[in-house]
Amino acid sequence: MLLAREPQFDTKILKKSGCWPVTSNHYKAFTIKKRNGSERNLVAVKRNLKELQSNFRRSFESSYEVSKYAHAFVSKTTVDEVEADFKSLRESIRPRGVITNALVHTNKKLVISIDLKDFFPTITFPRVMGMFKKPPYSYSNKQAAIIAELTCLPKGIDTNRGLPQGAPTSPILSNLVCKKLDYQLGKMASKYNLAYSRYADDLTFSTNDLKRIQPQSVIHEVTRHAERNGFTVNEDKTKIMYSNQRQMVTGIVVNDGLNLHKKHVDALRATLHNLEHNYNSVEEAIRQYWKLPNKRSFDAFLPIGFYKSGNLGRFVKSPSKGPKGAKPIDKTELNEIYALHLLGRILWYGQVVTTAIDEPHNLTKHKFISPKQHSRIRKYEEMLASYYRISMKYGWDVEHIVRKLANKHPYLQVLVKMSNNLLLEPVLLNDSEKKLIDDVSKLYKNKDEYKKFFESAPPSLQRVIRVENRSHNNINLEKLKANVEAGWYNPAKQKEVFFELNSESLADLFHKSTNGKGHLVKSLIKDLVKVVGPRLRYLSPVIRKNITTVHRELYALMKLEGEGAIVDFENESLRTKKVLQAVLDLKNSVRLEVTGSMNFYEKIVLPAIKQSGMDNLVFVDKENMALRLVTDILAWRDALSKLLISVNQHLVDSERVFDSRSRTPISILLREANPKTGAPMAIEVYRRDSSQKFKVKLNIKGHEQEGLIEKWVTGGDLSSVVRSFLSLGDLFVHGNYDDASNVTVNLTEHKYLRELALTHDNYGQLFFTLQELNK
Amino acid sequence: MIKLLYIEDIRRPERNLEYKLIIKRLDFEKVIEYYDSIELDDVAQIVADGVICHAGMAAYNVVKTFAEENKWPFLSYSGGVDSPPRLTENKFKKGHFSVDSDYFEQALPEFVDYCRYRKLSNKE
Repeated sequence: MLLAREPQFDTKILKKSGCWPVTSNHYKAFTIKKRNGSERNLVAVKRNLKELQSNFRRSFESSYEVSKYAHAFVSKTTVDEVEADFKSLRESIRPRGVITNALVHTNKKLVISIDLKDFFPTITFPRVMGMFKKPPYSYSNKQAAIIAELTCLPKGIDTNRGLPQGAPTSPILSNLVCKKLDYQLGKMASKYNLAYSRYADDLTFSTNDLKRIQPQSVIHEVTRHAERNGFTVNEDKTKIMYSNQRQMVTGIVVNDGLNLHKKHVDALRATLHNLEHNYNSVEEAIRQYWKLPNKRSFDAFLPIGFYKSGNLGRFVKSPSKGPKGAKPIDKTELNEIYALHLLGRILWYGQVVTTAIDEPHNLTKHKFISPKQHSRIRKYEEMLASYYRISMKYGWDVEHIVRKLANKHPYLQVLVKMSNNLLLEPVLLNDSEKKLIDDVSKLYKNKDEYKKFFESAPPSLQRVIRVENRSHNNINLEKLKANVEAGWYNPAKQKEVFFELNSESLADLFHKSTNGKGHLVKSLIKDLVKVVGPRLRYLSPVIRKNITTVHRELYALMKLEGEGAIVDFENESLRTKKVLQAVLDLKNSVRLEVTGSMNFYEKIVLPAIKQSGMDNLVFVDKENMALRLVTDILAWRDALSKLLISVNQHLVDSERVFDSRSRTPISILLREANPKTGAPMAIEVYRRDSSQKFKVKLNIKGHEQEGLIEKWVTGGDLSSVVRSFLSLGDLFVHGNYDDASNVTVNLTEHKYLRELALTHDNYGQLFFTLQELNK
Repeated sequence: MIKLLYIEDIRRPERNLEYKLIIKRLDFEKVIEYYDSIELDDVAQIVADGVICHAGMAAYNVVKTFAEENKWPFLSYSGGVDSPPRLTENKFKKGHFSVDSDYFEQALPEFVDYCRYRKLSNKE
């Protein structure tokens, strides 16, 4: 009941849910200190009432527009429904906030900031009730009273019954109450050629037309309007800021484009510098801060809630130590929290300085961007590059975030590349990849547009999307975007990596060194980066993880021992233990050999048969199954085992009856890749009884030799085979069906080809094939 | 007399030299010829009583495919960390052998003997 979108007015139901009548017990009051030393009264709302208020909030947000001047507490959904003025913002999916509020007042000769006193407490019960009685809400007296009762403080806490600071409804109600004020001030602003915006209780006006109205007159007018609407202006906080002064709007400097206060930027840069050049650990950075004689809040790069003394730990709620207690944290957690906190501060600066720029990564195209703004963006990129080097130094696992950002910032790319070209994460996407990501980011809800995009996408991407959507036409945009942005299974690209691992530049990872002393770590890393870097986003997760682990361990060894570091794969030592383990893990996941137990039969076929429970029903032709090969062992094993489970379900009872003289109903053989014909490697599953049908309807219309299977015929089990094998190739079924004969169906892409199924003298008719994809 | 072929890895000539020296040292130059093309058509023309090549060479798969087709005894040597230190026959494919490249010298006479014996048995 509480989840209903419409407000609930039935007091019996409200009583049943513990929300009526509202008393002091529904709120827990507490205070926090303001920056000026005074106290701010807050409340925590009890769960039942809070859920009800959240329901109200959703209802109000979706039903009523806030004014275009309000920038605080405006959610994305609200923005979507608001006027066309914000079309560009809506398109960039940037909800309103402090940045958009400041953006209204950039490059103005005069900025006036006016603060409303006790904003929430002055929006009282009668005002809320009165608002809901009037259009567009037009609730009855009783309904309006119930809403006001449920959203304003009870008398026991606030005698004026203002809006509770901490309740989910208060922000949206304050915006709705201020709609009239916004309208009046907006009208006044346009009369005097002023720009107006409001962020909660912060009213800001700005203009370049100084002759039109005097600042004092603006303040006088605003005070008059505010008082008529039941608010009081906080005169102490009113500021008149000319362009020769620092003009701050909601914490952002608006003199020339958007910027943060110099002291904040300098503190951030100083911290990055110290971390990079002076400190040796995060602990040292934190302790050094506490040693500063004149600490200023903006110097502290300590995540909020950190233990305030220099001891390592943070304040968290702890039932055993009262409401808040110091909780010690280990080094890893400390590093993680600190790294992300610092990154958050840098990204905030980036967000501020790049907001007015549509495409920050295309800086060269912006002829009209001011030199100052340009240098700020450079500064931001330098900060990210420094952060990147710091993350190398301290081993923070955040490199990939910066490298991802680097794709959008050419200058950062240069900085990062200069500092280090031995990292695996893909810094440089090629032009077609960049274009693809760029194009997909522009797709919105227009189905025709993203269908068009899909149709022109690389075939390997189309293949994956078809499998994920189980359809040729019905494409899910989110899945499409996710694949384009993060990469997708591309068997051909993965095969290129396997080829290099098997016999080319990466083969050293599995081989002894020619001089007997070991391999140069730097060369191994360079080869890995060169080969795997551009292809990493197309590898299966297991292979990706194993290769990045090898790279990480090699890199760690080189950082420890310098560029002359050597690793000998034949002789493990304490210093190379981790590298050797990582290489062994990679080897076990990809490399099959001619001799020993690492062959196709023992690593893939035998375990798959055991997992499927088909031990007595399958004959394995092992002739080709000891071969030198680099492949995704787990994918083969998983796919084959799932396929055999499915095959088992397709067998009819008569096929299960056979004696030792007759042959098993199912046989498996490995067809090796044939360099003469170009045929790729495949596992072929034969069925002795060729009279049996594959019991599905293909619904093929017409008599074309080949075409698409429109309706997906794979159920849960075969779908799972398809997905397991997606990083390597396709699954085929051959033979006869309920409504068609002599057809081969690619169950991955759902395409058919009319042809006779292959037969084998000893094994019967070809039933399923798991075939690698070369292209 | 038997005729074996040592297929050279055209990508790594310096590595070939090492093994050619071993062949010379063991006095097998009369029975082992060097072959430096890995073109599909050329390999298809080969007539031999056995073939030797590095497991990591370019076109290893081409040589292996024809070895299977023509039932040539086939020796591949490899620098892989877990390669066998003696001549080891493929579990599932008769006549296909592997050895650690460091033990090539020890394994080669055994392989030559195998090829010789096989030719004789085929004649009989």
